[in-house]
Order: sequence, then C-alpha cells, then structure tokens
Amino acid sequence: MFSLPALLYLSAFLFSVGTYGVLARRNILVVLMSLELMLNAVNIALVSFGRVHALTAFAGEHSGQIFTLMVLAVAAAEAAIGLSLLLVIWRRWNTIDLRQLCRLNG
Amino acid sequence: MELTISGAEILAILPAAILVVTGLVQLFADLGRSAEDKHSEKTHLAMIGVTGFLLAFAALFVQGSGASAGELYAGAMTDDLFGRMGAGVVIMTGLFSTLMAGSYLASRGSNSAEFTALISFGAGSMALLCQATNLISIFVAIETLSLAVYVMAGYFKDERAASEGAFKYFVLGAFSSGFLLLGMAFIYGATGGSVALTDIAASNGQQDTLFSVGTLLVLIGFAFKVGAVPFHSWVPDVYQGAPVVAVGWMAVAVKASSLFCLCRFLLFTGGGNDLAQLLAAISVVTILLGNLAALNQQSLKRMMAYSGIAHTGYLLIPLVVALSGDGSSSAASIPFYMFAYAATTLAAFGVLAAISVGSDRDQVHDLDGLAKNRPLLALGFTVALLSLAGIPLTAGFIGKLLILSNAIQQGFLLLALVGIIGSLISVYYYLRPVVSMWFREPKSSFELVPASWGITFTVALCGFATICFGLFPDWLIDLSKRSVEAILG
Repeated sequence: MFSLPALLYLSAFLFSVGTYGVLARRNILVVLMSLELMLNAVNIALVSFGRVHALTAFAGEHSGQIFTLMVLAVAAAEAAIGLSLLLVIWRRWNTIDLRQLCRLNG
Repeated sequence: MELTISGAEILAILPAAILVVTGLVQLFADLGRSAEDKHSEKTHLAMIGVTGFLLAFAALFVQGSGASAGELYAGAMTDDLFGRMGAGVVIMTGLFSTLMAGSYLASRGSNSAEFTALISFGAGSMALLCQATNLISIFVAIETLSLAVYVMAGYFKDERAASEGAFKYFVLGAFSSGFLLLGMAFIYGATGGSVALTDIAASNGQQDTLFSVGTLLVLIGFAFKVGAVPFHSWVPDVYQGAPVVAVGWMAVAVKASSLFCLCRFLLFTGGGNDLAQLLAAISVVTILLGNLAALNQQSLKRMMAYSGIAHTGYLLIPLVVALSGDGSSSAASIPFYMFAYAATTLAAFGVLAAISVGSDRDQVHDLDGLAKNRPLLALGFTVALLSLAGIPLTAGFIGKLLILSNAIQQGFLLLALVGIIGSLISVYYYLRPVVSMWFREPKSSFELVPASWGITFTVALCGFATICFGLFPDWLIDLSKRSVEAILG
C-alpha cells in the first residue's frame, strides 16, 4: 500500500504534466489528452483522500470515491465535446494545429 | 441508509427537471425535419420552450411558500430563497433567449432544435448550480452548464471565428475546471473528508494551508466562468464568434449562476482576509481593464464583451465586503444587480440580434439612424445602454448604488472610488451607440429586415423592466436581502 503523501505527489506530478501539455503543446489532440490527464490526476488525489478519511474519521463515508465517479462521467462528456470541436475544425480547415487557429485578437 | 425522496426534495428539483424535459421535447418535436427547413422560424420550438420556462418559473413559486427546506438529497442541494432567485434569473433569461433564437437563427440558415434544447438543458443545470450545496453537485452542475455553452459558442460551425472562439473557450474552460476540481480535492482533504458546504464551514481544517490553496483554486475556476481578469481573455473572442442570442444567454445566465454559487460558497467557507484582498485586487483590475478596453471597440459584440467583464468587476465588490467580515448583508446587492443586469443585457442583445437578422452587422456605425427606421428598438437599446452606464432612473443605477454605497459604509473607499471611475469611463463608450442611433443620418444602403415579434417583444419587455426596477426597486431589494439572510439561517 502507498502512503497518502506518495499518492499526492503522484497526483501533483500528473497534474503538472497535464498543465504543461495544455500550455505548451500546439497539437489539439495532445491538448485534449492533457486536459483529461489533469482531471484524472485530481481523481487520484480524491480517492487517496477518500481512502484515508474512510479509514479514520468518517468510517463508511465515501464522498471522495463518489466524487471520482462523477468526475469520470463529466470527463467523458467533456472529451466528447472536445473531440467534436476538433472534428469540426479538421473538416473545415484541415488542421489540428493551434497556431494556425489563433487569428482572433483583442 | 434509507433511500426515500421526500416531497420537499421533489419540489426542489422540479424547475430543473421541467427544463430538462422541455429540452428533450424540443429535440423530439424537431425529429426528422431539421435537415430541410433550417431557414424556417420553427415557432413550435419557441412555444414549447416558453411553456417549459413558464412552468419552471411557476414551480419556483410553488417552492416559494415556506422558508428554507434545509438540506436535501443528503446535503447535495438546498431549496432556499437565494437559490430560487438565482434560478429565477436563469429561467427568465432562458425564456427570452428562446423567444429570440428562432428568427435570428432562421435568418442565418441554421435553425435547428439543438440550439433551443441546449438553452433548456443549460438552464436546468444553472438552476441546479444556484441550489447546489456540496462540492460534488457544484462541480457537476458547473460542468454541465459549461458543456452546453461550449457547443452554443461554436454553433455556426462553418465560420472560422465561431469554431475558433468555441475551441479557445473549451480549452480554457476545461483547463480552469481542472483547477476548480483540484481546489475541491484540496478542500475535501483539508477538512477531513467533508464535501457539504455546511460541514466544511463547521470543520476545523479552515486554518490549514491546504484549505487556503484549495479555496484559491476554486476561486480561479469561478473567476474564469464569470470572466474576471486575468481569466477574461476568452470573453471577446467567444462573444464575437458565437450567435448573438447565445452571447446574450451566456453573458447573463452563466455569470448569474456562477456568481450565485460563488457567493454561497464564499459565505460558507469564509476564506479570510488574504482572500478578500486578492478578490479586491481582481475586482479593481477587472473594472479598469474592462472599461478601458471597451473604449476603442468598433464591434458592438466586443464592446459588450468588455462591458460584461467590467460588470463582473462591480459584482465582485460585494463579495469582497462580505468576506471581510461584514457577512451576508452586503451580498444582498448581488441578486438585485443580477436581475437588473439580466433585464438590461437582454434588451441590448435583443437589439443586436434585430440588426443582425439578415446580415451580420455588429459595428457601431451600423446603428446610424436606427431611431428613424425603428424607434422602438432604438429606444430599447438606449434604455439598456443608459442602465449599463448607471444613469439614474434605470435598474443599473440602483444596482451600482447599492454596491458602492455598501462598500463606502463598510470602509472600502478605494474599491468604491474605482467603481465610480469605471462607471465614468463607461459613459463614453455606452453613449457612442446612442449618438449613432439618434443623431446620425441613416446610410443609403441601410435596409433592416423586420425583426420578429419575439425579438421586439423581448426588447420592449426587458427595456420596460429595466425602467421598472429603476423606479420601483424596493420590493426587489427587500427580496434580495431576505434571500441572502436565508443562505446561512
């Protein structure tokens, strides 16, 4: 079994990787994957907190795990919307490069 | 654990349930015919929508009989006056957006049921967001409404600006949801496993650094949703690319429901002085940047985008005051301001929709001579702009007066001063379209396709409401005060 800090470090690491991916990568597909990674990194934090709390203070309380299930559902819906936007952009302009997309200013 | 649903719980979820069913009915009513007649107005969709929204609005009053019903669904949501007022703003906004959608979209050749259905679905989740009282339900509601709005932003999928704006909105929105969620996980961890706002308020984890960081991250997530600086960069791009009706809907409903939820969240979690100062800084920068950037915009949509950012800044002032110890009484200006802002903004976007029926006009000089051709629209737009600028006798004036006088009473002179300076700057760019409409000669090529009854009705009624809230604000102020008292009590 892993300790809580170890799991939180893992979660923080994955979240940072996801953040970096969203900010630095220019391929839309990679950006979408990075967004999923961010949400799933938080899921790890949630279940680890949830396990610790279920063992100690609130026996039988599983909010963290329930939260994770909800986040999974939301992440799936989000991926569906993201991929459909990607498809629209690809069909219309034949590119999935964010640099070519950024032409609005203000 | 018993799994029964009480009558109060059914009543609490009734408006949202009605709205979701309305959306489904709209989708089914349009089955099999969406391909051919995208140019027709499809009045039946508007009728279904209006019926659904009116039923949902009536359901708010059915709930409204008693006091707060306390915790429902094991603390996931509540049913108090504050939540009902939030749902009321959202439902009225949805009603008018649905009324305007048909003719506007038909004129662009892309009228299908998805648009009105997305308004209904979005309204359902926004109503839930106003009533949500634990982290899980807040997150699910805020994500559901965002997903509906992402799609609406990119509704004109053949236009570059629309797809681009929608994608930018989506990436930044999902990014900020990540931070919102991380913040919630931190709060969950710091408070020893509580997700309900009441448990969080009662727990002893509030002094924890983890808790402060968590609150900060949640604040970032909300700042993005309401378009506060420095998370505002998506607002102008999205407003420019999205259908005008969707912009009006987003500008009011997303902002209103997020602010109602943020207000409830902050009143429960507190957050202390540091957070209040940070929020004050955000508020100052948001007001100044929004107003200054709006000065030079020739596009009305972009002008409204920056004006919306500035109004977010004004709305953060009562939250700062509430966080700094004054508690709930200053937050009472938020519901009133949201009602005033909803009426005003809907009237303004009604006119924008009317002038872009037929062609996609949104420059200030496109309004030249509007008063001669369409005096009613010009009058409605003038009232809306004066209200946004905070000129007396309008709802916007009373809203700003409440916020600023409260800030001054509680000793936040700097914040109030910035608010006043911002309003003074804003008078310039709000009056430019007014001058254009009333004092310029119409161009020879100026042809206006007659606006539908839906748009005209919306402009007239919302303009009228703007004046009414401005002349007789007392009942609404009283209602707002009682609603904020109901949050904690």
